[in-house]
Amino acid sequence: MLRIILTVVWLLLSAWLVVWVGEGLFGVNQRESILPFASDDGLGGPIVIGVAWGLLLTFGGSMSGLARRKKVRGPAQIGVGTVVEMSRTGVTVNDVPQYDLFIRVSPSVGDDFIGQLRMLLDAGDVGALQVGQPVPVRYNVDDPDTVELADLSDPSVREAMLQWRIDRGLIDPSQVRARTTGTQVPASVVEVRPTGRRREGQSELALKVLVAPEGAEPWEADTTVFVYPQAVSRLQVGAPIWAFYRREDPHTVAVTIEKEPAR
Amino acid sequence: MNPLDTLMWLVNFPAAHGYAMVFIAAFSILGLFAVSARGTTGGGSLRAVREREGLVPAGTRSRGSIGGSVVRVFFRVLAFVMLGSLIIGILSLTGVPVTRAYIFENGRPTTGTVDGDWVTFTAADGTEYTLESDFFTPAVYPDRDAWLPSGAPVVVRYLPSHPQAFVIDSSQIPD
Repeated sequence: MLRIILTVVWLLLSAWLVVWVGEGLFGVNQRESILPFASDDGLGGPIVIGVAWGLLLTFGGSMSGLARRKKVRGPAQIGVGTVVEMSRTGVTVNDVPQYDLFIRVSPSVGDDFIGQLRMLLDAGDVGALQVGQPVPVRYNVDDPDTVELADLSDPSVREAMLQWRIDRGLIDPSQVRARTTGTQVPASVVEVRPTGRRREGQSELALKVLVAPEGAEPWEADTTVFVYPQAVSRLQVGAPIWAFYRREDPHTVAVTIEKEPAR
Repeated sequence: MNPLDTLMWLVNFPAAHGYAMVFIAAFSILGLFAVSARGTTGGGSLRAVREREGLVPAGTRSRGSIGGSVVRVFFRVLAFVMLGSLIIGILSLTGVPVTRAYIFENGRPTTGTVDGDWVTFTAADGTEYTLESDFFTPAVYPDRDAWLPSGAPVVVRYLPSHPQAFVIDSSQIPD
């Protein structure tokens, strides 16, 4: 809104200066001017208006880059994006550098697009974000220039991420009921073997897990899971993980690496 | 219509309005060059990344880049015009007769009257011109600081094709 007002004011000032130059070049009786604020000595008006015009141009133009809109316009969906590129903008605030993140988003409907996210990242955050890494994002397909990072501690974001995995077939259809409505219990990896299938940059592993609910006899179950390559090391033999199962079918198990807060 | 006359008429504008021109150019030149530089128009880097990944949204490619480059070229031209105006304005303020000497040599003489900062004369085609001779950049040549009695007749030399470019002949001021 402010930018529109500043643009209109700047255009009015530009028009004033154009008329001023035109009168100076073509005017016959230059004592008479059609311009408002054209004082008789011919100096005050052009100086004040010209300086205001130049300052608006200088600072209005250079600040539009800093004041880039960060919020997603309109209703936002939650999805997963991958970092395509990270570059420093050259600005630091309290010694924390500002980065431009370019994120490739795969919306649930429609084609992939690349959006931009400008944020301050300290050294620790930069280490955690790498090119190719998946991140939860909020986006709007109608406004693909801007994306926001979604907060994974928000239950609705987790829900959307889970739905995204189900929609993309990253959770086997036979495991969906166990994964969404089952009970979460500790488990351990007994055997791990890649199946060779890849989807959305994730690779599938076939696991044999030892499901060990507290105060109950443990049992073994076979399952599959899609994980990002960076997370494969967390599914080595013996690794503690978490399993979901339903009481009526304890051999259909869905696994997660980290414990999910109770729903 | 002599092209050099036309050039002098154009250059005479910042020379005659040197005081205002120096302010305008000094405060705007940074912004003009910033706007005309590549990459400052928003979304340039986003477009570059999209082109590299082959994900340019349909329809935005030609419109965005052509409009952006037209604006950039316009502001670049304006920036150099402004830089020239700044230099001419400073020269004119410091007393260098940037255009005055040419107008004096090639101008058509006529008589006019001075009323404060305003000079009134009638050109050969019968049009009466009232033009400004600024206190800071007086259109007086060869002696820029000659005292002009208000209301007295003076000799004015103007370019026939562009009478807005004129000087007052200080060598023919009555004592």
